Amino acid sequence: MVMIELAGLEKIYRGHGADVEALRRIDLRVERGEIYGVIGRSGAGKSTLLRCINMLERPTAGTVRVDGVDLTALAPVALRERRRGIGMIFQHFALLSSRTVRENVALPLELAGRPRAEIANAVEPMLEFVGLEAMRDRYPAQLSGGQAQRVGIARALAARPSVLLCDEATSALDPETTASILALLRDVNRTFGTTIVLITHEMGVIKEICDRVAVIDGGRIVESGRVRDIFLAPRAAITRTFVGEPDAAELSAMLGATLDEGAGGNAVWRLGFSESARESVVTALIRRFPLDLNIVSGTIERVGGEPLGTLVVELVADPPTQEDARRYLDSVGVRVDVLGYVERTLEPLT
Amino acid sequence: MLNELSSLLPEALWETAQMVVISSLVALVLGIPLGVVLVATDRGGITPSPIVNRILGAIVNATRSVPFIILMVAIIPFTRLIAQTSIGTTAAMVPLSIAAIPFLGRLVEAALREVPRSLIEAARAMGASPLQIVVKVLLPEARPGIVAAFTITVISLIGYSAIAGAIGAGGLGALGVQYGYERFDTPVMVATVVVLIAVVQIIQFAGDRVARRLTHR
Repeated sequence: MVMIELAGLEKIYRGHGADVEALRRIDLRVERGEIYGVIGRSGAGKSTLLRCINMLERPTAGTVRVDGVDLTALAPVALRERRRGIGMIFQHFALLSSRTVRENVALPLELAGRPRAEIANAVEPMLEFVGLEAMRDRYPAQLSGGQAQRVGIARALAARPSVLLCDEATSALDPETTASILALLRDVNRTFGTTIVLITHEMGVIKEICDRVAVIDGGRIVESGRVRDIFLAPRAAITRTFVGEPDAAELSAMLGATLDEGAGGNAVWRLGFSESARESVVTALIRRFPLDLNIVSGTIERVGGEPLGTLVVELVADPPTQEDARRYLDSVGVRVDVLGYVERTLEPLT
Repeated sequence: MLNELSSLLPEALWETAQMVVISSLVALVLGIPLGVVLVATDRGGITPSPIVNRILGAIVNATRSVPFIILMVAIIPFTRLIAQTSIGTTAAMVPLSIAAIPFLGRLVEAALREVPRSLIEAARAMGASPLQIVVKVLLPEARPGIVAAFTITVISLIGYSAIAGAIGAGGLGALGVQYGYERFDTPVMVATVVVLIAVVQIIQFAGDRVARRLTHR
């Protein structure tokens, strides 16, 4: 079931002289109950994208459907009503300094006009959920960053929204606190079934908790899919840098030869392993075929708890052997992506 | 002479207090909403309305650029309409209020602008209406700044009321001018100034204290 659907979304800021196209033809679907990440550099448009989902930014064109309702078609009052079903947390927390923790968490319920007793009953369990019941009468200035974000999460969830939008929610936090906040978001997702959309510039956040990811660059989604697939086989250049893979120029430098797109010479492959990472595919490859492997770079990451490995190798072999090797790798479930070819400087030893 | 002083001073103080308290209250009731409207209708505000903003801004600037002594004289017909007289303590409350409203309005506007935009955005994301943003976010968050603005307004009104005193409104200003200046009565002059300084100090002290109490940053 689709929870959020952006179709043909465009956002153009009319400026003096030149218009700025912040978002271009964005199509995106988020399933109910999933954690969806949008990653991009600063200025890529991810923040605008997130703000279009609850219409803090009104898109220039396109539709925004949340839970089946097209928000772009709603009058202000109806839109405000809908926004109560969409929680949001912020990089710098956006807590009211004049309110205590408890009063901050109560705010969305007050805005919805709920009776006082009901508010009190709803706030306490939320504070317990985020582990801050002891801090209920503190003011935000007395909290650490991690605690403040916990209050932000409790506040966003107080009205029990079906969607939670996270705007760089961990970017202002240290790595340890980031991990604890991400764990809390996963808890939120599992406990309340809340659909989460988060934007970030850190791949670590994506691989920690997201089910699917979209990579945004220059206002466009350049790549999207399951996080593990993106990790095993990033296609767009920007995605490769997010994954930490050397780009074409770096590869050329490492190989000591220019990486070419055209076939011929030694193939440069990216091998993507999942469960088979444990099996010694590389050894098997060398034993079975008359070839040498020159390992250029490699990573092993845990994505959603699953170990994923990638290995960039130069395949020192003639074309028919390359084909055989490729077929073998396919048969054992190792992903092969051709990154290019380099002039043959090494000959097979065997 | 000391006897004379001991009866004149409390009376003058009482008149000043009346003028300042009444015009401060009027400023509070009308100046805070004025500041809110100035911020809300501004470009990028919560209910942008360039026309309202420009007209209000022009009126505020016009009122504030007229020296108080001229304002007092200029609005005498209006004063007569409201107070049924154009001289005395009651009459002085009218121009004092007229001067204080835009004065406080501008200061409140500045205080409201200090509220981080991210808080307004967060409230909008929660489904807050413009009025709710004002009542639940802007005013509470700007409270220390508004208290400071009101303190400055009250102190300025004490100064203005002394000018009003010079043209027949009574109060400490009149006492100082009539006895101290025109009769060369130095002790009365000194006493008046001392009382004025003391009153201003007390108000500033109290204002600072309240503002600090309300600050949780």
